[in-house]
Amino acid sequence: MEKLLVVSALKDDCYIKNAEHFLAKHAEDVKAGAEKFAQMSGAKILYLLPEGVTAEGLENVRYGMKTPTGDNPYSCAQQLKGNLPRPMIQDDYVAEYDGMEVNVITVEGAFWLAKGTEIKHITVNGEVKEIAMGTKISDVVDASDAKAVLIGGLKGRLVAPDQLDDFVVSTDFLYDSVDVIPKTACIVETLIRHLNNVWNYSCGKCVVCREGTLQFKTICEEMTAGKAKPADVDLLKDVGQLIREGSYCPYGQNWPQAVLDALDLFADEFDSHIKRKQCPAGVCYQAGDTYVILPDKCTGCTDCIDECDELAIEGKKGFIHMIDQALCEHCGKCVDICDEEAIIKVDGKMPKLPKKLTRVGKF
Amino acid sequence: MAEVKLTIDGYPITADENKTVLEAALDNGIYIPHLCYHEDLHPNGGCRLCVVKQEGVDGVITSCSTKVKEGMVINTKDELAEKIRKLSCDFMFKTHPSECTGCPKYGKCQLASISQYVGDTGRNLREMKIRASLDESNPLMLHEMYRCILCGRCVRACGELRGVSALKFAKVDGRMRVVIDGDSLAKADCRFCGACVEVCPTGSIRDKVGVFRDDLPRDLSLVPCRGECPAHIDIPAYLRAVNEGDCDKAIAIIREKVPFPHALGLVCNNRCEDGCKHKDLNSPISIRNIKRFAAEHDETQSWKEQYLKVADRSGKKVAVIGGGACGLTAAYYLNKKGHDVTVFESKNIPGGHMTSGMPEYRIPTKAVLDEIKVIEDSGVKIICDHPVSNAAELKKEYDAVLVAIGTSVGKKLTYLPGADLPQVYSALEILQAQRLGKEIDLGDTVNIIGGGNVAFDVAGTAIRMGKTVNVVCLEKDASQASPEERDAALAEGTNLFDSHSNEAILGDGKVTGLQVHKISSFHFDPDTRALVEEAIPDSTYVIPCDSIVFAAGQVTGLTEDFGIELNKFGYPIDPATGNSGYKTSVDGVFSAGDVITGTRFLIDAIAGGRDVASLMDQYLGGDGKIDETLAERSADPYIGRIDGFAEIERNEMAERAAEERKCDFAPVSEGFTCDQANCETGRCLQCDLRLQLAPQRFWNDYAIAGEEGGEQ
Repeated sequence: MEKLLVVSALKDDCYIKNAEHFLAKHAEDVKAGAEKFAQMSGAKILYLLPEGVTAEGLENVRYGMKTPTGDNPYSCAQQLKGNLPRPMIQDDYVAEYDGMEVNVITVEGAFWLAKGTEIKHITVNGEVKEIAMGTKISDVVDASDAKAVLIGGLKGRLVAPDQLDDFVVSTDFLYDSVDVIPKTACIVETLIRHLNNVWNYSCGKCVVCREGTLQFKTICEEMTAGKAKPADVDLLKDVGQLIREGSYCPYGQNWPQAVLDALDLFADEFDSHIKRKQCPAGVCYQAGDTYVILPDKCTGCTDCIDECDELAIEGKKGFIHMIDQALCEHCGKCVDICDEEAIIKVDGKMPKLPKKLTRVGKF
Repeated sequence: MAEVKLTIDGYPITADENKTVLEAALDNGIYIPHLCYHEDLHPNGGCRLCVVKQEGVDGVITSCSTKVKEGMVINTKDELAEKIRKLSCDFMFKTHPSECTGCPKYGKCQLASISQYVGDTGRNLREMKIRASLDESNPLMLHEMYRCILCGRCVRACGELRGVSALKFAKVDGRMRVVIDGDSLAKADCRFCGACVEVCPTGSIRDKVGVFRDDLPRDLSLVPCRGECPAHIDIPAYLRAVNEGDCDKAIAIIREKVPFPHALGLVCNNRCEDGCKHKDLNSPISIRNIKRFAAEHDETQSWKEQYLKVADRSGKKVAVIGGGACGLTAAYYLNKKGHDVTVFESKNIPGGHMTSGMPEYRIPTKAVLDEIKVIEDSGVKIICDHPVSNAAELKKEYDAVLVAIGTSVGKKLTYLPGADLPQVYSALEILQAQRLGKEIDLGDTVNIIGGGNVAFDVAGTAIRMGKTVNVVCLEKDASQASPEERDAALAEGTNLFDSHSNEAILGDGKVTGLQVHKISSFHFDPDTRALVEEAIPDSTYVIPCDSIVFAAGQVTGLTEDFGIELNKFGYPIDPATGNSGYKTSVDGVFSAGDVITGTRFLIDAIAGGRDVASLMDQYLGGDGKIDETLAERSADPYIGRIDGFAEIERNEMAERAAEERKCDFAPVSEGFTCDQANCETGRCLQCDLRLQLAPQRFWNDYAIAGEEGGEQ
């Protein structure tokens, strides 16, 4: 069978922009490396680039979407056929496109083949840097003001600043990006944004990654809406570990690690969100998401109970009413009906609230 | 092919080196849960249910996509593997409707079966039901994609196996879904082969209720044309052969079931087409006309050598009374099974209605005689001009006798005044006179009484004899006849007097007219079968004519002298049941065809001939097996995509203009052109391809899992 060498620039993710840099600054080297590699097997060359990226001097260029499986031959073949990418990992499997056997080399692989492996490209806080082998990550970024550092983007790890010395750039260094998470950030909110991307980039082929990303994202979102339960932390740890073990491809085997890291490093912060419905960084519970009834103002009139369509307000006449955050849909109707102005949106810090039904004046 | 030895759950197993661990396990009755795996599809690895532990390897391996290797030690019940399976099940059920009992796939759902086997952890995962609505827009299949667990078997079957790719994966609101690649299945160039339905483990993609009959075995139910054909001809296979330009092969396939392909191609009432699923898309495949095309292009007759081979002689002698389609079919198969068969035909030509009961322009004598010649070549002896007066007497000379005399006597409504005049005939008398070249006095104008297909056969025949023809019938628009046959006769100049009731045939020694009146409605009394009509007052008048033809049905003409018990209408009865059947009151005397069913269609007579031949062979000591394979089947499942497939219109044969064709007895149409036959066969949905797919199996189908039972 004729052979096709796909030079893939699709393996980056939302944190990693190395391929674009290779194509902009080192297109000649990538081409030389690809040709060298293709010569060995007599393959035709095809460049597979992310939509919107142009590269001077490359012929036979096709476009696809960025995907963690951008280095898998079957995944590339699927994109060339106009399908969504999904990998095939199997003994002796030969991916085919247009009657040709598909092999894949990444742009970085091609670059290294042409120029040797002295330099590694790493996207640092969104900017691509060329870093010499042997460099410590602690020398690549200033982590003095960091809460944590995300190394390796969607399939990377979340590490504490003082752990950065352990990460040294080499040819088998698994990580292509470094992102500093500032001290001011809320870890839960950061993780939600991160998990949204993790979910978007999941190809959907394997059940545990496809559904796991969606479950993780949803459960973390519930943590900032007062709906999560304390047991959810253990659920994430247990399931996260199983997803690592049970996923089909390296993406699924790796993305849960950053979540597990976050749960380890910032246990208190998660605890605070879930149990106290409080965001220590003052980021969550702010956008009018959470309504509470102030125990010193509530007269126990039941007007708000009658008004609530979701049956989210507990209480009875003469007792301080309470909003069940799990049921509240944040419509705000209770605020309008309350003559005592006892119902407010939480602003950063959660006021002290009764945990059980309490008579008015006794709290 | 080399074999390797490995151990699965302690069982020593030998497997071909190309097998995967999952295949090796399943082949040996060891069940490993699996969902996205299907034995006809390429391994996928997505469902994560088939993960197992391999000794010496960290974590788990995916058994559907890992090949067996020498010395492997596999544990399918490893703790981690089971945890991962449960997690996968948990995840899938969070997206799937939780209530099973309302699902049409209840009891046949692989997901439910697996979850029963794997068990549930009760984890507090979030409900993630899929927001998709029931899509019933297609007449054949429905989609309830909120039941879909994304195993992708349908997408892979449609793409890899069929080369069609009408289904694809797409993200909808960020979530992966299986979607139709277009606004509808038709727009997606779906070929409606049903592979997606066949491989779907849940109730997501299903056949619509009513598309397939549920009272037939699977190989007939899923291929409705074959199921509806009384002889169960393998229709998709011969359409495929014609499409490949191999008419000889097509005829070989047809001849596996019927010895009269050409005759059927000309006059069959094509109930196969009533079953054809394509009728729900636009119109059914023109199956009969393709059969005719094949018969008329069967040039090398490569089937013949095998077709004429007969079994070693049994020494048994069989007499068949009646050389029509039923008798000749039975004769062919009985001879094939080794018995010496003699057919006694009362007329001077064999073929029954094919040569004397239907018009020449519909079924030329030569076409029929050519097919009868093949039966004779196989060793059947046909003696014409030899009426048999007593079947029981004949049985004394033969080991078995078949009465297949059909219904060869036309009924006349003798109660009608004037019915005894000399120019009053039955339909069969006219048709036989014309076919066999006998003189008949019809005068210039013929009034035909009756509104069925036979009436219009007589009309077409009389028109071609140069007569003025009137058809007089009770039914409005002659609704008993097929619209095509009625319209063809009307186009040729037949006058229709519908909603008319007869009062008397007029004439003094010679027919001069038919006295009739108009009616507004009528029915037959269910008990007495007497005509009950609503006459229009003062509507009586006379339609002048020189002769009358009754197209009012036919009877057997048998009497007690025939030596077998008959019912009051002259049909043989089997005393064991009291009804007409293959057995008669005399041991060794059988009956089949129109003589037991009443006048039916050619294909029914042939099917009856097959059945009775099988029964008689058993009576004579044989095994009764008359099925034969005359052509190897080779159906390429990779049918590919055809632009606008669902919209391709049915081809119709070009017919000679009425003005031209009414002047002679030559066929009305020359049949399909090669292009038409190719196009028409290409429209076939190939429903039979679905039977190639492995049926879905469940954990209790595997010996070892079945033994141990599921976890819950």
